Amino acid sequence: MNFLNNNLAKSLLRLRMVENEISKRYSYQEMRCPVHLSIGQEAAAVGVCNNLKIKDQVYSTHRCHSHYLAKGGNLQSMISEIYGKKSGCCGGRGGSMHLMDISVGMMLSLPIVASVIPIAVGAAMSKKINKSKNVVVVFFGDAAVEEGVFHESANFASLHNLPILFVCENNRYSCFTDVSERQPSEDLTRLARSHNIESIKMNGNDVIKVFNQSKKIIKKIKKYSKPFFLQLDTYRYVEHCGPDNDDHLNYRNKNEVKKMAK
Amino acid sequence: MKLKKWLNDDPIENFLKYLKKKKQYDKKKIEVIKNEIAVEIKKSFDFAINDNFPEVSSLQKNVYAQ
Amino acid sequence: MIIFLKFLHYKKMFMLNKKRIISASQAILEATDQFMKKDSNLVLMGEGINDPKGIFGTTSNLSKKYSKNRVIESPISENGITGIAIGLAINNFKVLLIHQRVEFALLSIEQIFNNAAKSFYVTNGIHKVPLVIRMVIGRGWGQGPAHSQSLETVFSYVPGLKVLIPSSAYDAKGMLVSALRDPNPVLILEHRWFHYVTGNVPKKIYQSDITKPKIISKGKDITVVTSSYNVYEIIFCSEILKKFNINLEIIDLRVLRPLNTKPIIQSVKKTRKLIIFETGNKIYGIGAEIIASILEKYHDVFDFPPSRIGLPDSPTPSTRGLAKVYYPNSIDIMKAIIKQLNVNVEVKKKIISLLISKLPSHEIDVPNPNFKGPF
Repeated sequence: MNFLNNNLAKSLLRLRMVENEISKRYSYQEMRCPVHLSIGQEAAAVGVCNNLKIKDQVYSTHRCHSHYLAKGGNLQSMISEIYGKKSGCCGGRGGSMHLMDISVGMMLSLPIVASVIPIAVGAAMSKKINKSKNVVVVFFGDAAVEEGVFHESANFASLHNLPILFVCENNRYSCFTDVSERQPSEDLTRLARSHNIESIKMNGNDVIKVFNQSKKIIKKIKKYSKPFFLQLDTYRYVEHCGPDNDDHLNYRNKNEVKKMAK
Repeated sequence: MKLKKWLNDDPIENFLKYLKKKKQYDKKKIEVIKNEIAVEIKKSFDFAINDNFPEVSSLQKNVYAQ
Repeated sequence: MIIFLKFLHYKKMFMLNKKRIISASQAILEATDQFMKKDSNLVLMGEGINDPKGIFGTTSNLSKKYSKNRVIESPISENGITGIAIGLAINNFKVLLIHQRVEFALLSIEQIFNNAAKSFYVTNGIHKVPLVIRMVIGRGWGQGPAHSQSLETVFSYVPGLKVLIPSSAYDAKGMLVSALRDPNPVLILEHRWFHYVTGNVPKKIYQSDITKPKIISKGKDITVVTSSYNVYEIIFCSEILKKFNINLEIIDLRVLRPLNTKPIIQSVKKTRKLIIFETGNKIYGIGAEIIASILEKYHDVFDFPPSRIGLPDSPTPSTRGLAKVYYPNSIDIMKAIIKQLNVNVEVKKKIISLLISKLPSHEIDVPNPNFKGPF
């Protein structure tokens, strides 16, 4: 295995194994906070973050475990945080939805779906004012584009030519509600286009493609100081919030369930 | 359905398949990685479980900067 | 001795001459300008900050003096720009954000309550959010139900925010400087009419205390707690009452959060009477909080049931036909004060008729011309 593949393998497996371990132990009821696991969505975080330098910043949402780990966040601080312990990354004050490790540029995670997006744009503004060569990446889900503040943020980033990559992980579901019930089209890049932001929609489960594509994009952002919107189609293998598969609730297609059963 | 296409898309399996295709798959190496991660995970959980909760006296600390 | 007193007299005259009387809005502009000059990390944002009118003159010409990156005329995106301001703030900038009406800030409550207020706490002190938000509250010119509310208690509800409500030109500058030096979010609520109030404002950069209310007039008869523009209404009443040898102890609240009731409690222990006159709604208002927090500790401190004057329980009407009964006027306020005083009916009548004789004729939707100062 070459160096890159070795890194990608480590990153992907680490995410999956950590999340599986949380899932396994969650029923002991010692991790007493909501957990939004990233199982199935690892390639997005790993593919993008492996192109980032420490000083490039990442901002995330309630489903932040993958971004935190892919950006190099300290595992022990994360687990302690979920257990509500003193050595947690927020001293136990935030829980699973507020992971951060500023020593590696994992700046902030916030649970109100689009809430972190303008903050990331503000961070990108700071990069622009400081004439910094670093970029800001903000990860969010498909439902985040439904909150007005996404559009306010995209407009501002476009208007001011800010060095920011919007990564929309489309896992199709906002809790139990399919994207088709929330959006006229699953192609969310149309929203980026309306803000004059360049965009690409692609399979978010192929880590190599995500890595290569985001490498080009990040290079471009750094060169031209312009925002970019990357839609990564993916899927979460467990429930919206919690450790288990919840397909007995029948909100997802039956065919999906069989395929997911391991 | 479009759905079916990405249902077979487990990102980890995809990557392992890719490695095999590129003849870069190294079973032993993957095992070594997995074992290292498992050790790190165990250490982290053990530490977290045995760590203390924050002191109750800290409840109102850092509401405002001192 | 006489010579010494004369000397003092002249010294006082000389000092008076040295006073620099400017309006609160000029004071705010001066503080902002001086701070921007001194601290290149201060960024100004808001809707209409580059307008010819410059938000009551408080931002006039700043866009000509400083770069576009530091004076950011913003899209009409209140929640967005608040988040953007927080993003700048956790990346070593300071941001001064301005809303011309408090109602616009309502669109940003998500960012203010969830993120600005809590980041320092949730991250256990890692993310500081040096963000100052100025918002305009209060009445005038038929601004009506969604352009003239006084929502200061809404913002005062949330731990992690500091909420200031200045009344004087001196505090207009000093409090803004203190707020800009604070490492975490500070909200400054400015009554629309407060901007025209004048007073002595030193040229140099200085800070005002933002930890407690201030007794602006000593008196033994009754404690009146008020804030912002209402301070002048009370000063007006107080001047009249002095002619009847009745002395109000006037407390300018100044800092709604963190609320420090100590000076109020001390005053009430002396006067044993309390009136709270607030700019916002009476129900769920700051008066309720103050009275409750006093009674929790001192159940027998009052000789008379404490009273609250605030806005009645309806939305704000635009028409002056209704505004005249919506806003408590000088007579209502005076009546509430003398109700608690041990004076006979004849004296009460005299007080009211003197008050009426002193009232300038002016419409309800413009400031009392006597309230311009200097104070």
